Amino acid sequence: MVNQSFSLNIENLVEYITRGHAFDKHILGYDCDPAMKRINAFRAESSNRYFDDRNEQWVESKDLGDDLFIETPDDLADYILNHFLKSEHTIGYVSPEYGSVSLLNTKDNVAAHFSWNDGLHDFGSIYRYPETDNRFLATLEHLQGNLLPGQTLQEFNNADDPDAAMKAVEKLIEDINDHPQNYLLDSRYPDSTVQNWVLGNAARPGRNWDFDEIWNAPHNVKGHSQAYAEHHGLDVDPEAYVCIQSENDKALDIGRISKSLRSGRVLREINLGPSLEFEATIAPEAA
Amino acid sequence: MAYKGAILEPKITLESVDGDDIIMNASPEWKQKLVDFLKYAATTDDAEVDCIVPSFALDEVRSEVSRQMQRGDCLVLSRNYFSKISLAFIALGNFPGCAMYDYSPDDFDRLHDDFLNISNSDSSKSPYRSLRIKTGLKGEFDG
Repeated sequence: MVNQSFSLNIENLVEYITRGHAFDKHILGYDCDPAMKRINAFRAESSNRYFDDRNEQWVESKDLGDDLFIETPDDLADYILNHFLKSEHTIGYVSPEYGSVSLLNTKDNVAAHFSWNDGLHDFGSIYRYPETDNRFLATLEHLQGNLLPGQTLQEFNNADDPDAAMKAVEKLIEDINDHPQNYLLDSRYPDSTVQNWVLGNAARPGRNWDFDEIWNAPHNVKGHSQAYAEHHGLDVDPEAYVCIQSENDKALDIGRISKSLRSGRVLREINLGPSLEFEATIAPEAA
Repeated sequence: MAYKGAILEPKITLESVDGDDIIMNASPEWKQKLVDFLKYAATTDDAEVDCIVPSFALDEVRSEVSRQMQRGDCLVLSRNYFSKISLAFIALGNFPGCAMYDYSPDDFDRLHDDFLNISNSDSSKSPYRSLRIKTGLKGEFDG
């Protein structure tokens, strides 16, 4: 049974991605890869230099690409919708088996995947690593050489058709809306449609409150960073600029209080600022 | 040169291709390592595996490999299942020192290279992928 009140569109699909795990991992820098740990992949122009214990040698930093000035979820959404998907440097393909759309911007060294069935239910990801292009092309090459009988691999290039990438994503969205039964997140359950299990989830886009220890996390912040707005000439009131670092710091403080309350620790052990006391008071009901 | 603990001898090798089936030599020990790799690949946050091959698809392949655990040193997978394993290795191929549960990274490297070698003997050699275990002069030039 599909709940018709939830319909997928390009804006909410991108919202899930930009406020989902991609934000944690690739903007806030919660990445397991030592080359990318603690850096914003879309602002850093090179990866970390780190010591490889196993090989007992330093691994030099590698080129990531130009600074894209992306700091907030809204910066990332604007980049995807107004730059990445429309760029003449974007190429891509549609997975012959799952219908997901994979894209690579060769100029920015950024890859994005618009997927309906990823494990975190946040519609895919966007990222960049030193060898993003190689991995993308290796995947594409593998798929080209391993098609099953009757399968075709749809490839496209915005340089040939400026709307190609956008059309591929919109076609996926249209098909999910028109044929929800073909996109079950668990084939054992006919109601496990994207509409019911993802869009019908009362959690905020891209995140699930049940698994989120942090209130007012930076994923929820609305607005653009000063760097992104100025670089792209966006009409944003300077007072509305978002500083993601301070939002992140604040969220971590609140998260610590939340965990302490749940574990029954005494509040006075925590150095509460006046602005955080109110959050702590309402915490149990909100959780 | 190779890492100190690098496993230089292939552990999963191609026996033959029979229609849609890829027949491989693999001991129960390395089949178990493959099963555990597939579990790891379906759940890890180390790389964006899910974007390339969904976790439920890897779970299907894992069930099939588990089912063949008692078949001695033989592992038979359809091209489709073999392809899914290869995609998971591509997704994790550049990740340094892959932390596959309690296994040594050397086990991961061996599995990666064995599947790449079988892939390459089955199709054209990829310019976008490289072996994880570097040996001798080749390693120096690849480095």
